[in-house]
Amino acid sequence: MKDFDVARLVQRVAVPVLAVIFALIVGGFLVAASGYPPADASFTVMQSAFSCSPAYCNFATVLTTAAPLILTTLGAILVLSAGLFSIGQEGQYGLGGLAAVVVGYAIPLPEGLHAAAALLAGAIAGAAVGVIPAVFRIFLGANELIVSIILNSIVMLVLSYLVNYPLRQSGGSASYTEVVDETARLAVFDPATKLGMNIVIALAFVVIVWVYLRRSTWGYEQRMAGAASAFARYSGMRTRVAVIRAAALGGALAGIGGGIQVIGMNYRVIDGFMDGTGFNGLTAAILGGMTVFGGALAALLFSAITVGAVNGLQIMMGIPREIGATVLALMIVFVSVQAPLVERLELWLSKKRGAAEIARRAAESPDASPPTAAPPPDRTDAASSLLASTAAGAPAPGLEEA
Amino acid sequence: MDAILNFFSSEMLHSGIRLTTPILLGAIASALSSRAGVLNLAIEAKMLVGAFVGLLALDAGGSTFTAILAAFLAGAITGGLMAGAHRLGVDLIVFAIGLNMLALELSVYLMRVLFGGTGVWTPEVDTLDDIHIPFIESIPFLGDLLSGYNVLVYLAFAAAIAFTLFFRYRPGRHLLAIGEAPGAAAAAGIAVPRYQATSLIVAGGVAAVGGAFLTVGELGLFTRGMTDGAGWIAVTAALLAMNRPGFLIPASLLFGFSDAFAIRLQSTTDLPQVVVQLLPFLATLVVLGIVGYRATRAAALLGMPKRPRGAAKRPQPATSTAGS
Amino acid sequence: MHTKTPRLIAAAALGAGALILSGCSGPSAADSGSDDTFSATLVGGVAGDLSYTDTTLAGLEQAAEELGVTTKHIETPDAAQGETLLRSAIPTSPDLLLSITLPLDTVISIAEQYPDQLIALPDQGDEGTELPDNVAAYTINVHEGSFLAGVVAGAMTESHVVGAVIGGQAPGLDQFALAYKQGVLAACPDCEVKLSYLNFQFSDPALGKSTALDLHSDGADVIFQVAGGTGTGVIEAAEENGFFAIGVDSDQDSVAPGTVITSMLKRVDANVFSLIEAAQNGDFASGYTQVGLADGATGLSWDTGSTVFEENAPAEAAAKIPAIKELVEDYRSQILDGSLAVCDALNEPDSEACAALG
Repeated sequence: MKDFDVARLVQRVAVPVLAVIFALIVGGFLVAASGYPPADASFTVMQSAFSCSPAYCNFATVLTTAAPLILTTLGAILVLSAGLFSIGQEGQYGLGGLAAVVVGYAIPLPEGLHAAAALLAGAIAGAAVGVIPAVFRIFLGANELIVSIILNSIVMLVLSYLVNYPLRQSGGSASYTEVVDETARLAVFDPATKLGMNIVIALAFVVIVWVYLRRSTWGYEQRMAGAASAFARYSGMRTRVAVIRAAALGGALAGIGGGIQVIGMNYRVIDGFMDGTGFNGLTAAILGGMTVFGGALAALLFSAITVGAVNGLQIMMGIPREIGATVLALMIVFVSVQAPLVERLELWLSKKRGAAEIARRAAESPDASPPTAAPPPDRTDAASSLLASTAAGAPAPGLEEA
Repeated sequence: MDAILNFFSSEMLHSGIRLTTPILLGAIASALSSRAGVLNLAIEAKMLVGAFVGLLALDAGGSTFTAILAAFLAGAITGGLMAGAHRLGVDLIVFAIGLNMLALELSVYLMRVLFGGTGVWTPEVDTLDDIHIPFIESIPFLGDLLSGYNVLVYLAFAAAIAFTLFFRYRPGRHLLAIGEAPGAAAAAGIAVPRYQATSLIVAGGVAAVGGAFLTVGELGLFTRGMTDGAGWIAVTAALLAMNRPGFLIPASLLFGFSDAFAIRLQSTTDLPQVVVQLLPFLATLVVLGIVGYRATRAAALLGMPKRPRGAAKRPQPATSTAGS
Repeated sequence: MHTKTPRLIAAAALGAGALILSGCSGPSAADSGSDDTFSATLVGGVAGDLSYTDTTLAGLEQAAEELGVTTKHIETPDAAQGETLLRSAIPTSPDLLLSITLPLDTVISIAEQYPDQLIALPDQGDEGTELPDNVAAYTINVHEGSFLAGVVAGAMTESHVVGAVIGGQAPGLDQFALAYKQGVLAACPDCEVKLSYLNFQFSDPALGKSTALDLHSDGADVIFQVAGGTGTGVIEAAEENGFFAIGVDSDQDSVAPGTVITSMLKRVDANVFSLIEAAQNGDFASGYTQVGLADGATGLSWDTGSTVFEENAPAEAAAKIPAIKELVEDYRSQILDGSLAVCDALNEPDSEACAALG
């Protein structure tokens, strides 16, 4: 058994790494097509993302950019792991940011408390947006994925209207809100990049969400609601409550993401604030295999590639910055394709092993039962199908017990 | 009364129909995929591919016809990729998210590499000519409604009607069966994978023509993300139509005209556009709620276990379709 | 279902590790511009909008060619990332950092943080805020040029209905729109001026086209566009439907020869050039500088000798131009000698001239 597990572990690590490498190779070809040596390009990306000098730390920029992204990633993971395929993080992020700004400039509060109140407002706004798809799914039986897409459009329209008209800074010539009070701004450690409490808050939530999902009853309930809803119901869990709670908490996280972007960086909402940070969070969640730490790392990788592509490729080498996001998109495509491939590979391996086992037993006793194919994995909801591969990857029960 | 008539100017009709066209083509693609049991969220990607490749072909010296054909083929290839991924058992939602992002970024990257470092590409090309229908053109209202568009506008509406008729025939019925219950359809001897693959490929082509309408048909230029979410609106419109072919035209018209209406509104009144722009989205939410609720109720009355209807619309697990 | 946790973490960790390792070994990114040539970096906008950003870039290019300075442009496609990008430009220590589209208070806070970094704002309305010593801002009196564009429209129209497509309703854009209206009414008192405000969409040509056609259906036969990239759709609509358009920001006369009568220039390029030139010569002057018609910072494309319209327009339209030019010159001298007050909706929205326009 031991040797088999090692083989499986190798596959499990090797195949996604292959997907990432594949994306990088294709990206390299694209860079070569634009007339630049790909090796130089990738070197420049890494250098512009990770180098640090006393005057200016590029990696701090990566962390600042990653902070809100990590929160939208966590929001996506929380919702998706409850079996709710909501991609409304973008809208939650947008409205969360706006709510935080309004509290930040309209309500005078003492320092510290003010920032907390702003983030709380962001969380509430995000949760309010986040809970709608869950309500539609549970009480009306509507497809929550579609509802969340529509909500993104609605929030986008409303946000643009609010920023341009009622909440527009008076006298300003461009489209943005008032600036939040000094008391509402997050503390900054590195004034050059505004790295500060934003990344601390983001990392704190990484730990909190991990503890919540892994170590709390609520987290267990929602994971079960996502992974095996029938089982969860029969064992007396209130899956509806668990799913709605997950949607609200996921929305709150994305809303806080919007909040730390505005009280940690921009100090106001600018028209065009919804720039894909919520959507990228979903992407990072997928790249990170829907796990808390994986997602956080993917969010970091995402920011590093984006910052590296802009600061390095575009500014230093003149290669269009879109190559960074192109490579990320390729990673998503390849990772999505790799999941069923691994599944098939494992199925094939376990069949081969099974056949060998049966042949061996048939040689010992003539009345062994014939092999059964692995049962189709129970993956009625998309979120668990994302995670994929394990159900079918496990050896068929008949063989295991025989 | 005059004020009302004045509000519904001939140009508003024209704008409404023109803005509807890409949405309608995308909605056909979305409904076709849904009917084959696949939630196709990559409509936006296919539109962008069509917009870019169409203009590329036109600039390379092709006629407008070859440009549209090239766009169709490029979209069909993208659809083919999706079909292949589906066959493998790939989660098509994730795949579509990747494709959308890829189309958005790669089109701009290629544009910049091929045509210089700027954010817009304006080749010297002639876009499609408008067709003026004799006689009808001179009828007041009707002339504005029916005449003076390029060929893709007529093609889009014709495609929607053809799509409706398609369901009256055998292959269409098979497709319906697949969308409702792939397992049963397979048991009845329908070649489910082939139908699904064909649907995805055709849907890709149709959506791409919707994108080509913007570049080859209307503007003759390409900018970053120039479909501006039309693909997502198309998916929404298809849902508003409950994926019924006969409802696609009115649903798409609602989205197209709400934009035209908003343009008109802000040049004649002080009402914020957002009010009008929100309407079709809110309407879709209501429709989704009602449809879902009725399906849940019906299931309950028949004594079936409550299951969100949405779940049935998701891509089927790999083994149930790819393996069958 | 949770056993696969390690695989992607491992993959991501591997990737990130590789990146960090290689990142440490490289030379610092910050030591680029150490040679003697003067360097200028522009942050903001998106190249290829055929309008605002492109005009600004033209100034940067001109400076590179004529002054021999090293130039760079950092685009800010996402508004929320603008500040980060401006900040990341500072360690490359350009001799002059130019910024467009970022909020003034953001620029000021960065300038205060880096008092040795010279920062120039080639197009910045005077918001009444004091500028630090290392910041220079040029304010362009676009209302003066827009008035002249209005005169052209008012003198050109046959239908006595003229329109304008404006990116959004804001003081900075009304500075164009209201002065334009005033100019139309000066040349054609019984004309109707239809102003169509968009919802701050500056990169949607299809919308611009629809809006222009809508105005045209209401009788407008000359339409002024103040909508950036969206405005290319306005010109397209005019070209296809045989009415006239007036371009904005840069010289757009040749975008559709014979359709674009003239362009209302906002010479951000000239400001960029003079700001770079001054800084290179050590004459960097902090604070606000107002530039207008007198400095050639605003005006019409005709001022720079454009005759594209006359050469390509239908004969009857082209025949009107000489008379219109005279009229324009007449108003220009009135503005320059101060006898005519043009409404400045950005800086003096309560002035008499603006009040008369409603």
